[in-house]
Order: sequence, then structure tokens, then C-alpha cells
Amino acid sequence: MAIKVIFVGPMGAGKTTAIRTISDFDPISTEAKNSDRASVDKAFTTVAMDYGELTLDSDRKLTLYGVPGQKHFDFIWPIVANGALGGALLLDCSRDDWQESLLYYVDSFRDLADTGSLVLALNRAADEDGVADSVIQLCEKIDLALPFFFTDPRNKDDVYLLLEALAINAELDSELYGDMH
Amino acid sequence: MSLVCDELRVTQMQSIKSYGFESLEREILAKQIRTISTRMHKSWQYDGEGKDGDIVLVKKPTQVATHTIQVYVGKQPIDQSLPFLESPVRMMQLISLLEQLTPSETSVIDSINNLITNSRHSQFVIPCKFGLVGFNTKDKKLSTKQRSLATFIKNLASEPGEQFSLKHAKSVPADCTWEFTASYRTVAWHLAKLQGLRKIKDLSQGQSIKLASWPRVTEWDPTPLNFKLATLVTRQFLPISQIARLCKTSEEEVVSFLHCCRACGITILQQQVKHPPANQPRHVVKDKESLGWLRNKIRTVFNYGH
Amino acid sequence: MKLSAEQKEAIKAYLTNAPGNREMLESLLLATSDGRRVVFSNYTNKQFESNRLSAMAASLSGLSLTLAESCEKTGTVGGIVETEDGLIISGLITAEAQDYVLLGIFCKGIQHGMALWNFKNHQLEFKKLLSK
Repeated sequence: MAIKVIFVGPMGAGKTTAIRTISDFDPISTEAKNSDRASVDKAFTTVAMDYGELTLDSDRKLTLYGVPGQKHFDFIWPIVANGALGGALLLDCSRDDWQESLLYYVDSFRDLADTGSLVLALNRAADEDGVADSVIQLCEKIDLALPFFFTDPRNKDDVYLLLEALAINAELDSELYGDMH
Repeated sequence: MSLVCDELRVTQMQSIKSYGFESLEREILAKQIRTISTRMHKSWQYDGEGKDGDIVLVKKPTQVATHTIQVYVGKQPIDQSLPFLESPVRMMQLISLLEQLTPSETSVIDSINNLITNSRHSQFVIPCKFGLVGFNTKDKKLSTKQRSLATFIKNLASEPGEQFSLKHAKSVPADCTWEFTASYRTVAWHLAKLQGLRKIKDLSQGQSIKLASWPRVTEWDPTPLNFKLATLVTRQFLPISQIARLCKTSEEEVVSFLHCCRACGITILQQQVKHPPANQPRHVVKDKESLGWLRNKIRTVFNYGH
Repeated sequence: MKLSAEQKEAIKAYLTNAPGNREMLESLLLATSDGRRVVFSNYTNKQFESNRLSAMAASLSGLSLTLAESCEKTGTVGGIVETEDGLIISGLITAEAQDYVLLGIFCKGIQHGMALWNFKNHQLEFKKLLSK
């Protein structure tokens, strides 16, 4: 029995790191040399998916999938997202374009967002109150009240908090609609 | 289905009820409260006989609803600390008692909010009865020499709201050090929570409600119930009764939560809905046990017992 | 990742004149290993979305490599997709600064051996051109 959770967001937002932080084993990744160092200065980037697992008990596990962040890989996003309990959208708030990224990725995963199954993980936010105000304004613009948390993808408790939010939402789903499916 | 949402105007209506009063006494009480409320611009409202007002004036010993303040009317009770009104009720005594029983947290919240958001000065202090309160408008934080948030909130709530105005602001003394600093929204949340249950005007039973944005409960008041309420109330319109049922709590707790959210600037939306909107998930986890295992594994502070 | 003008000219000339291309190849695509199109040559009238193909080729190549590693196979050459209408072969071209992915779309009826031989030749030629 497996529950699937996905990590989405732009290149360099911390998706692979978040999976590595909580996975029971070093995540399986599909990395290639990054040809866009001007945009994000990192040597490698994910091109298909990252995969990790968190064992819950002998029969149950949480499977963790990271999608490639660059927009031209959008063809693979719905493939990876299929059947997911929910997703965490990671954003690097130290980048100038994090707000555009938020809107773009929420729109790309709108199915998840509309059912409360998308949570925002805001990384590297220097001014948390300012970022929070911006998130609230952006979310109101798109008629959503997405849960958002200030996180460090290297911190296990922070990544667990994202899972907790998705788990609570899934429990509520189950209570609201469980009998209808 | 129309999805026109109106911002809910949350007004603090103090419901005053009586218990064991004669009909003539009730009429007099209603007139007195109406006069006080109009002349003093207070939101006090007499709602007749009952035991579930914010304040209940009782002439016969009784058990009142939770969150209700009971006032004895008649002879001075043995316990001198209990609120007491002489009978017949005199207007000036009633005013004094109502003011005493309804502290001005709302205006403290509003005044602090006003100072933090509108002041041109980045740092200043406001002298209060319990000591100085430091304001940092850039970081939107309040500081105090009190050692804990609970004490700070309790003391703040006992201050008149008018104290938190620029005319009382002073420069930060050079040798000033603080014991405790908190974001002003955390302070607003806890002030509102201290107020307890309040009536939210215009929120009728037939209405469904939803928050317009996520309340940062993980920072303001991290409890499992708040986390669950926040998750539910931000995702879809639901009647308060259903929210309470799904979160396994009372409607009073839900209203109190909404009150705290409102104090932190979160807009409450309401909608006349016969059925919940159909934003149903594509994938519902039928194996609730797995979710239980997941939460058991991650064990965050928000694990919520079921 | 920028190719010199000389390299671009050389690649263009190669794609135009490469032997056997039109007989067995429908198209040949070169992309960076992180999915950005470098050059695309279409020998048919089919409408291919080359940018999308570039990203997919990179993903396929990445998955092939990871799959091979997970199966404890080294020296991954590429991946093959078999269809009733021909073969699609992808392969990695490693270089110092930037890795590339070559994607060859082969015509219906082509023999596996022939397609692989042809693809490998292109891979070698591109490696030379990109290393110059």
C-alpha cells in the first residue's frame, strides 16, 4: 500500500533536497548538466523525476516524487502527478520571480489546488511577513486560500509539516467525500 | 450556482440576557441597555431571558452557558469577588459594570493594528500600566518586559484601547531591553482568543463560510485543532455546524477561531449555499489507516487524535 | 552551452549532407541534456514540436541512465522506443561543459541493426562536432 506525494516548483527551489531530507534512502534522481546557469546557478538539474520513499510500516509506504522544475518539462508533470494524494509547491522567495512562479505552478496544478491538496513551501524568505502578505494577495487574486509555510527543505520537521497539511486535508476529503467514490 | 461572496463584517455584539426577571423588570432593563448602547456607541444588546448571553444577569441561582459571565442581581453574594448589581438596577451602576466586564480588547487590537500599519516611525514605545510596550513597525513586532506571551496578553487586554495611539508614543529609552518579542498578529490572535466567544453579526445559521486566505496558525497559535480548522475553512464554503462536526469540536470553538482569524486581518467570506461546492478531489484515500500510519510516522506537533 | 558560429555551421552542413539520412531517418534532433533544443532536422512533412521533443528526449535519456544504473548496467548508450511505425532512439553525447541528447526518429520498416548502426554513427559525428 503506497501513498504518493509530489514535490513541484521551479528549478532550484529545493524539491530534490526536500525528498532527500525525508527519504529512507538516497533518492533515485534523473539529473543532467544544467545548461541555464545564468538563471539558476547549480551544476545539475532534474530532467524526468526524483523518487524517494518513506516507510510507514511493513506494508505501507509514502512514495515521494519530484518533478523537473523547468517549464519545458511540463509534459511530464501530469504523468507524475497522477494518483497523488497531494503536492507541495516549493518556491525560492529570494528570487525576483517567485510570485510569477507561484501563479504559474498553481495554474499548472490547479486540480490539486482546488481541492486543498496543494500546499506552498516558501523557502529562503528574508522578510516572512512581507512574503506572507504577497502570498495572500496573490492567492486572493486567483480565488484560493492555499496553506503556506515558511520552510527549509533541509529540515525534516519542515518537510513533515507539509506532509501533515496534506494528510489533514486528505482526512477531511475522506470524511466529506469518502462515501461518494 | 452563484458564487458571489461578501466580506463578513464582524462586529462585536455583546449579548446581555437576564434570568429570573419579571416582565416589567425586563422592559426596564431593555430600555436601559438600549440607551447606554446608543449614547455610548457600545455594541451592547439586550436579548431577553436566557442563560446563553455574553453576560447573564441572574436573580435566581442557575448554571449558565460556558463563556458566559454571570452577574448576580439582588443582594451582595457571599463571595465578594463575583460581579454583583443592586436591585433595582441603576443605570450608572449598570454602565460601570458592563464596562468592567467587557474589556476593550477589540479596540486594543484595532489600535495596535492602526499603530503598526499607519505609523511613520519605525520604533517607539507606549507606556502602559504594566510597563512599556515596544513597537517595531518595520518588522511588525511588539516587545515587552513581561516574560511570557500569556502575561503580556492579559495585561494588554486590561489597557484601554485609546492608550495605543501616537499621542502616547515615546522614543525607545537608550537602556531599554526586552524580555519578550512577538509578531503583532500573534498578539492580535491571542487578544481575540482571550475575548472568547463573541457574536458575529450577520452570520446566520443558513450561511456557509470560508476564509479568504490561510491563517498562519503554525506561528500564531499552533494547536492541532487550529491546524485542522484552518485546513478545512480555507478550502471550501461550509456551514459552521458542519465545520464543527468535521473537526470534532463545538460551534463556539469554530466561531472563536473565526474571530481570531478576523483579528489577524483574515477576511471571512460567506455564502448562502444549499449544498457544498463540488470541488471534490479526484483521488480520495480510502485507506484511512495509511493516513494514520503516515501521521504516526511524521508525528508533528499538529498530530490530531481521532 | 553556447555553440560557436563555426560549430553551428558545421552541424547544419552535416545534417544537410549526412549519408543515408533521408532513406531511413524521419528526423534528427539534438538537445541539451536538460531539454533545450539545439538543432532539429525534419526530413518529412510531419509536424513535430521540436521544443517538446527536446524536453522529452532529455527525460527519456535521464530515465534510461537511471534505469541502467539501478540495474547495475554501465556505459549506457541510449534508449529505444519501438513502434509499429518505426523506431525512436535516444542517446547521450557527453562533453566537458555540457552534455547533449540525440534523438533519431526512424522510418517504418527499418531493421533494428541498421537503425542502431546509423544512430551510432550520427552520435559519433556529433560528438566530434561538439568537441571542436
